[in-house]
Order: sequence, then C-alpha cells, then structure tokens
Amino acid sequence: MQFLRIEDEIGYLKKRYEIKKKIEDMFLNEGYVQIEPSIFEDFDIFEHVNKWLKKESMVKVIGGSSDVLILRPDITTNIIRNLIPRWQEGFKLKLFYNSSIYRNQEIVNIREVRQMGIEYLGEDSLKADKEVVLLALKILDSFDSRFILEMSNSKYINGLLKEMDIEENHKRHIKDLIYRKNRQELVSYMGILNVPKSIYDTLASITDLQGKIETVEVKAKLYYLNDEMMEALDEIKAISKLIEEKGYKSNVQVDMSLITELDYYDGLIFKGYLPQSYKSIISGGRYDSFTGIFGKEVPAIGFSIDMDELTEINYEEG
Amino acid sequence: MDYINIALAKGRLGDEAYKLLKAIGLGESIVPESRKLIFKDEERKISFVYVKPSDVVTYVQNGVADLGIVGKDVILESDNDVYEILDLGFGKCKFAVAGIKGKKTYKKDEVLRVATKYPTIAKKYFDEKGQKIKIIKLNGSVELAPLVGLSDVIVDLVETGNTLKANGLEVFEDMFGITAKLICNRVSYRFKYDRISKLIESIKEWEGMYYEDN
Repeated sequence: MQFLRIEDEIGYLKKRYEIKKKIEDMFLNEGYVQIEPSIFEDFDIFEHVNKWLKKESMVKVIGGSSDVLILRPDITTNIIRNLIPRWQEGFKLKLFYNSSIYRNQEIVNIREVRQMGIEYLGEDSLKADKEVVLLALKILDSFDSRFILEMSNSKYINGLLKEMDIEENHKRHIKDLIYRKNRQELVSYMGILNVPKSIYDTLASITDLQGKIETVEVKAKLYYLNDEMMEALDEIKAISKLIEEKGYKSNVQVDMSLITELDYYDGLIFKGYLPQSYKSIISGGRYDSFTGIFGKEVPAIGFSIDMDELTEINYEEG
Repeated sequence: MDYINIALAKGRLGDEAYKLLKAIGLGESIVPESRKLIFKDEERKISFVYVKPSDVVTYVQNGVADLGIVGKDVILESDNDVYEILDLGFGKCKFAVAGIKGKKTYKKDEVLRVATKYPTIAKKYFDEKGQKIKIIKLNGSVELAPLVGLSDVIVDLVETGNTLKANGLEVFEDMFGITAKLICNRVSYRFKYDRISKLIESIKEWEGMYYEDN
C-alpha cells in the first residue's frame, strides 16, 4: 500500500504491528515456535517440484557463479525443503512464520506479499487437522464473527480423477472447469471425452455438493467411486464434529468442488473469508505427499494468512 | 441485508440481460432509456451498474459487483478467477479466423500476422496449433487489417458474417462458439450463497434451460 502522507503510513504500520502481535500471541499460546525461512530458492529445484507456478512469476537472482536463484515464491516449500532432508523419526514440530513471498506481476513489477502462517509437521493426521482448523477458526473469529470457512478434502476430486483413464492435460482442464464452477462447460467437455456414466454423474453434480456437512454427506455418498473418496468424506465428518462442539457450525461451509490454487495438497483443504474483503484471508491444507519429494513422507498441514489484505481491511475500519 | 450488486454490459448484451432480468421480476428499477449508470432496487436489495463490456469482469473480480453478465470472449481475454456459474444462452456468436476471400495462404513454416482485438485468445489458439504468429492488436475495424496489408488474417467474433462479406473477407476456420455468462465473485458466492442460488434457479426456470442430463 502506498500513502501520500507520512501520518497515514505510520498509522497503517501501527495497525499491521497490532495484528501481527495478536496473531503471534495466538500462535505462541498454541505452542508454535517461530522459524525464519531463507529468502532464496534454487530455481531448478523449485521449478521441478512446483509445476503450478508460472516461470514468469518467479523473481530470479543470479549468484556469483552464475547459478540462478529465485526469491522465495512460497514459504511452505522453503520450510519443507530445509527441514525434511534432516528429518528424524518421531519428530513433531509446530512452526510459525511471519514473512514475505515474492512474485513478478505483469512481467516487470516485483510484488512482495506479506504472510503469517503455521506448519504442523510429524503429527498423526486427524489430531493435527483438528488443531489447525480450530486455530484458523479462532483467528478469523477474532476479526469478525461473521467469517466463513470453506472446507473440502482434495482426496475427493483426486480420487475421482484416478478413476478416469484420460491424459493428464484433460484432467487439468477438468480441474480448471471445476475451479471456476463452470458446470455447463464441464458437462459438454465430458461429452467429448466419452466419460463413463458413473464418473459423469459425479462430476455433473460436483458443484451441488456444498452446504452444511449433513446435506453434503448424504449427496456425496451417492457418488463415491473408491476408498479415497470415502476417506475424504470421513475426514471431513470427523472435523465437522469438532467444529460443532466448538460452536462454529454456522461459520463453516463444506464444498466438495473446492479446488485450491496450490497444487500440492492431498487431504483437508480450507479457505477463510471475512465479510469486509473480497480475497481469501486464510488458505491452507494437508500436504503429506509433497514432503515425500524431499526424501521422506512426513505428515504435514499448515495455513497462511494474507497479512496485507487483513491489515488493509482493518486499517480502513480505523 | 446487504445489496446484491450486478454489473451489466452497456450495449447489446446489456439490453438482452435487461430483458432477462425484467422477465424474472428483478429489472423493475432499471430505466433502459435513461443515461444513468446505477440503478437501485431498494425493496429487493439489488443494485445494477452499467459498465463497458470489457470492464464487467474487472468489477466482479474485485468484488465491487457480486455478479456480472458478460460474454465469454471477455472472460477468456482477461486474467481472472471468477466463477462462471451459468450459461445464459443469449449473445451467441463464434470466434473465427478470417482473411481475404480466396487467399487462404497460411503455412506452418511462416510467421502469420494476425490482427485482432483479442490477443490472448488468438495467441492461445495458434500456440495449440503450433503456428507461429505475430499479433497486431487493434481496437476496432479489424476487418480493415488484411485489406490494407497490415495483417495476413484476423481473429474476431463473427455473428452473421455480413461485415466480413461486405469487405470481401471470408471465414477460413471456425474456432469456437461463445455465449453470455453469469459470473460471480468467489467470496460473494460464499457470503450471499442463498440469494445467488435463488437467482440462478429463477433464471433457469424462466429460460426453461434444459441440459442433456436432466
């Protein structure tokens, strides 16, 4: 954000510090320890493991011996790449960061995006899922009780796509159409691909599989085709129980057609919204198999908070 | 209750959208012949803004409007992540590659000069075909480009083909068809889900929309 007057800029920074402090206290209370991600990534390695990010949007830096580095475009990758190769059996780590990522926008402008977030590594899935979702709910609630948390499990759509015997780029296109809730084009695309009836029915209804957990569960069960899809539902159900106990039921919407921009999630996924903002404030999920790329599969879940957006909406409110 | 804000395109598509809104009982507040750009329906808590067609997506993307009615061409041409929740059936036309009649001369091993108002769409189409091109971005009267030697072909929306014919051009290749879409901001979709769903239902009902699967 840019300011004409210094007073305004100072006011904005003050607000940002207050918010940072508040969230930091919540992290510390839950036993998270701060970690400082390094600023550089190796271009080749990053590109190899993160195919979702366009090359143009990475900010490149040339090192002394002409090796190409990039300014970190993603914090999770950075932390995982650093820790997983040295991982020891039985480790449990609760980490938080307050940091920035860097992306090129429209080719020339480098954009710094401030993020705070957590990564919970090494803990058995369901326990960590519950803790992390609950923390996300508490943070959103502390800003506005009208918040909404959107939740799904990427195993549902991934499990469904596994049943399909089609090329990777066709799967990519199907995911893109679901990402845009474009049911009609999805239906006609499946017509071209000659998709078997059972899969066709599920995909044609996927955008209807949203709402409260009870309704979604009933509908989604009609369409499940394999264990992976069933697992997805079971995991959501287990977390929903906790959400209800903690009194957040009316804030949570399940949406089985939710697809995240980041491609590495393979379990619970969620996005948090505040009524004052038109961007997602919190975004996160489980990414066990992503850790495997760095040598060892470790249970892992985390989320990040868009600090710039959060500060902006709170600053405007005064 | 918060307002639902809908962005409409000025011009022909906006007129069609107005007919649709009127038919489902939501367009009462709009006075089409007035030059006003904002209309508020206080009773139903809906407001409408009329903007340039190419700006409808921008309004919805940034949440200034919750919903928008816009051609698929505009959606494809801009970088956005809005939901495309409903195909509205009207505003049908197609993208095509056209050029001077009888001069269909484009070869894979030559760089093709393409004049268009839609550089993103044109680039994507020829990339997939493996055809090297040079884009010449124009803002109107695209048909002129091949006639004056500015380009070899054009990529443009074709409805009846009359403008092409009148200028001695013909369609070389049909690319794909488009229609008008109801688009929605991702966060509005969550916060106003019930009202937006109802709106979608009433549009579907009125149009008697019929999909091959139900």
